[in-house]
Amino acid sequence: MNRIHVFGATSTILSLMIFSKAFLERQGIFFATLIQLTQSNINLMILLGMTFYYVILTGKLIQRLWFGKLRALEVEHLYERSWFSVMDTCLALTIFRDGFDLLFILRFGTLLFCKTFHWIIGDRVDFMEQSPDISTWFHLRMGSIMFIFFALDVTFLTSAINSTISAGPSMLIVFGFEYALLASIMLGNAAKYVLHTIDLNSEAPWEEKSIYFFYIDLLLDFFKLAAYIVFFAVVVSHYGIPLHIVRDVYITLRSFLQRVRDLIRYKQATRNMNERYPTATAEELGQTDGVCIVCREEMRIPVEGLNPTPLQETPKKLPCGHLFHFRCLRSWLERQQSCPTCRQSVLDNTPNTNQPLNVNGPNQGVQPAPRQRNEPAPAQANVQPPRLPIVDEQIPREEPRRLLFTNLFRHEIPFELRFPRQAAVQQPESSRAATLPKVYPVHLTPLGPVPPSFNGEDFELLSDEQLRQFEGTSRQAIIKRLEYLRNIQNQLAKVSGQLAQLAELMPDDNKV
Amino acid sequence: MDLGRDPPSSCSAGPVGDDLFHWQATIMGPSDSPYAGGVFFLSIHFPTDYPFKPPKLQFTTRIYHPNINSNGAICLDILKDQWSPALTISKVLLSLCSLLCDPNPDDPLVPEIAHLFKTDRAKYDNTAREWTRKYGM
Repeated sequence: MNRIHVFGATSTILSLMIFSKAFLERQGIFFATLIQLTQSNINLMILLGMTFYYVILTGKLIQRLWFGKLRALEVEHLYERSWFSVMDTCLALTIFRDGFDLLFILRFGTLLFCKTFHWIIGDRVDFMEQSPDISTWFHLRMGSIMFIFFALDVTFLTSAINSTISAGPSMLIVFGFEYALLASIMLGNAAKYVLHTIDLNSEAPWEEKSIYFFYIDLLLDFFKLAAYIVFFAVVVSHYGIPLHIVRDVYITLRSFLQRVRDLIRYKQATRNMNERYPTATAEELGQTDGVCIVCREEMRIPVEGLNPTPLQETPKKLPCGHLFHFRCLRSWLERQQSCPTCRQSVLDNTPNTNQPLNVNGPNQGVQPAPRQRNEPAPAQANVQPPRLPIVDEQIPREEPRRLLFTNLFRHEIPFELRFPRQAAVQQPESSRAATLPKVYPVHLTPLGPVPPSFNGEDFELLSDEQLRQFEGTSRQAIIKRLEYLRNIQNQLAKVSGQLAQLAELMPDDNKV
Repeated sequence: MDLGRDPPSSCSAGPVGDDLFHWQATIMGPSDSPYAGGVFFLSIHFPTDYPFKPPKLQFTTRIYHPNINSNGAICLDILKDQWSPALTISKVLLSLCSLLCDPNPDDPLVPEIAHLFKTDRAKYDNTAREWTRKYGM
């Protein structure tokens, strides 16, 4: 910081010296003095240096008066964006080679100066939503600074248009275009500022705010895109391809398309939400902890007649089975069209008849999956289940046993049982993808064979002789027992290996 | 919100003064990382439309990490486009803990540190330990 003041003081003294020298030489005629000063390149450099210093001082002064201390983020943005801006202008010079002179430097300096404050204003307006206590002083400052810079933008824009009309296209169209963009950005900022102010002054959370924000951004992007296209056309027809804005045009186009896509998806996801997403039943609600994961408040089933729950508070079920308040769900779908818990898109309308799996999303400890496995899944019902390659041969496939596993291991085991069967049916790739949860396209290591005498219900059939063998102390009996133990050990190792595989397939919410 | 109910052992967080939108948090450097023994402070700013928008987290303690820059800005997907309203501050802090253990050098915020992390792990560990001693103890 000190260095710049030394620079400023030096260039001021030098400027005063050259000015007084020229003034004396030209016998005190002011105009002649100026002419002489501009004739020499060294003099010009010194004057420019001084101007640079005072522009920075003015900028600092404005910043002190209107913004106070800048936040770290604002400073970071400032450096980043000025860098891009300077780079772009250097590229612009490749087209308007003839226009590079003192006037250009001054104009460019002014533009950069204005832009800087537009960035800070934008950051400040964004900051409003994080700072609930906004003083009248802040409103006064923001209101006045936005007005001042908007007025500047409009002034420069009209002068650029006027000169283009009277003198034909020149370097000025670049500046005119830039100021048009700045003016539109400022209007957007002002609109956001108004929205934030309304939001901060209203008691209840304002749910529609995000939608208005979205439309503002959409409108801004549209305007930007239109401006870029007009500018592009003008420059191409008079000069050549404007290299310096190719990057911006691309970014704007992408952002605009993204927003349009978002808009369509949002409209799709929230169209008649009440019919689209079923109201949760008391049973479904009972299987969860009954708390809406978004607002952490309890969900209640609307009871007919007495004490009607407003629609906003109704628990709604997404296709993936997760429940949320109507109000919370809508606010989220405005931003993203996926389930807050498991990130499954709400727009995929594949009915999940065959999906008892509940992917543990970012939040759940264990949330019981919708219990559909008691009823036979459609695929199972009509296709004679081909024998499971390994598991089925060894373990008798009675329903009770499967339920036992189900209860023990919740979701994991039934899936393991289901997967090989479906794979064995040789479904075409696409239909399999539709019925299987897409997270699990991986084959698991099958469990090893279970020794025959472990087929549980066969115990009744064991002869007394065999039973006696179990408790015998003869060498043969002990070896037999050891064998069984080893088999159990192997089975356990395989099961834990499989569990580890499954755990790996589970979305891990702690990892990035 | 669920910090009180289920506090993770290695992190803590709470409001600064009366302003419920501005919190301060601490993370203990995970023991299996070069940040072990360090205590890192963060500032958390909640937007008014939290939880629909992610909170803004920033390290206020300097830290040598490929995904955290000198201003303390954090490059973590769940704080940006992968945000979900189901996430809580305690979960976010836990994710940060695991980010400290496993940096993601393929999507770096500070390319130099990421490069060092990939090419000379020992040197990276040393520098990170040194910074932890210097700023986080």
